[in-house]
Amino acid sequence: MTTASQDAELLRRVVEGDHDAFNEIMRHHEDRVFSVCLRILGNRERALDAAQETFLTTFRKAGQFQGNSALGTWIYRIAVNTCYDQLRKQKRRRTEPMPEHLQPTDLSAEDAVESAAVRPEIEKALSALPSDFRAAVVLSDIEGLGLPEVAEILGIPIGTVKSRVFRGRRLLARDLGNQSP
Amino acid sequence: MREYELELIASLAEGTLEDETEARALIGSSPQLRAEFEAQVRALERLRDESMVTMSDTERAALRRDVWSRLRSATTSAGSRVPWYYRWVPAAAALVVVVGVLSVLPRSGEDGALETAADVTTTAGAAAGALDTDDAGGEGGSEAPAAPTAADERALLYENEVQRLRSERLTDFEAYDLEETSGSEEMKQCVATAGLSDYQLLGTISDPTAADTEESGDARNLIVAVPNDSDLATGPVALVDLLTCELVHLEE
Repeated sequence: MTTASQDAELLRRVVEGDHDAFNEIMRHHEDRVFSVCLRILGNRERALDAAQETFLTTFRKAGQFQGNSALGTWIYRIAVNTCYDQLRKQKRRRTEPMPEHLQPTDLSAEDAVESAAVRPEIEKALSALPSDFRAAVVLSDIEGLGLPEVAEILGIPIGTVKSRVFRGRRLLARDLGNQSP
Repeated sequence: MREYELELIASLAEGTLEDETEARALIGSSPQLRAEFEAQVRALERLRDESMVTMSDTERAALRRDVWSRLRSATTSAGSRVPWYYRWVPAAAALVVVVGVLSVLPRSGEDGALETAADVTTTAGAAAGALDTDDAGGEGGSEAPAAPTAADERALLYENEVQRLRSERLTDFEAYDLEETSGSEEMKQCVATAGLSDYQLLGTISDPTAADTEESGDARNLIVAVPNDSDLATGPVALVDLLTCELVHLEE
């Protein structure tokens, strides 16, 4: 069975209410969805929220999947759009950050140390990029996806992806290119 | 730096050029361009060194628990939602009883018969009131005011949220830019599915009734919509569940 037909079969089972099928989809994609969201949002808790929204949307729209792209590509597209929504929300809220000593304790913090984390200098450099550039750089240079897939995920032409990646990389080079690793 | 030069240097840095002659000549022509190239190579190496971030066991468990919790909650609320016409069922039942009883009574105008009919009406009214109370904490039926039900409390929360949106709409309400939002077409369809095809979308908000549950209070899962010829100030505002596309609140 091909990957495309496996994807279609999985989604057909999800639409029919097969919880195991949806669990399988989550298991297969949750780490990359979380990784992409964390690189774009720069915060584990918000990345977790975005991943949650992504899978809820995936479940709700399972019946609308046309099969024109790979299931993973479709899910990452939902994830990136969810992250854009969160960034827009954050921008419009314009709230002041809470003083550090008043920040609630992150219950998953200790646990998170054991899992792979974003290096602070990378996180800082990424967060300084415009969100469009950031998503393109994250998908292409960190997640290692090909330009056609990035174009599909972002819903833009390949030429635009290239331009965003190159420009994003150029901005990153100012921060990261002059630091020792 | 021109677009073409940028592309050439970036492609050379990532190693995807088939013929590097022109690019090498370009970076050899200027110390600034060479520095740019070297900085891009270093940045790219560092980005590619980043391994995929994985979730911790706690985060993974929380993600799965929360997703399933919200899916179950959506399914339950979708299944338990009562159609609008159900509120008239008790009144209709009472009317049928009254008409039925009156139709079998002798038309002689005897006092006894009238008293009986009056008794039946009262009883039927009380029954309707009782059913009303069972259904939605409605009006009447018993002398003491009925305690607010969960449905009443939800309605109140929705009403308060709509009022808050009205009062804070210029500073806090996040309206969607429909041209930019890829999900807007789907949201429009969702609103149409809720029977509000002549409504326009204003944005999305968190469900105020989800704040006290395990659901994330920060997740925006209600669509805010108003009729095409009105706005948030003039209403009436409708709230549609983004997950189930059902109308959860409509201002009168």
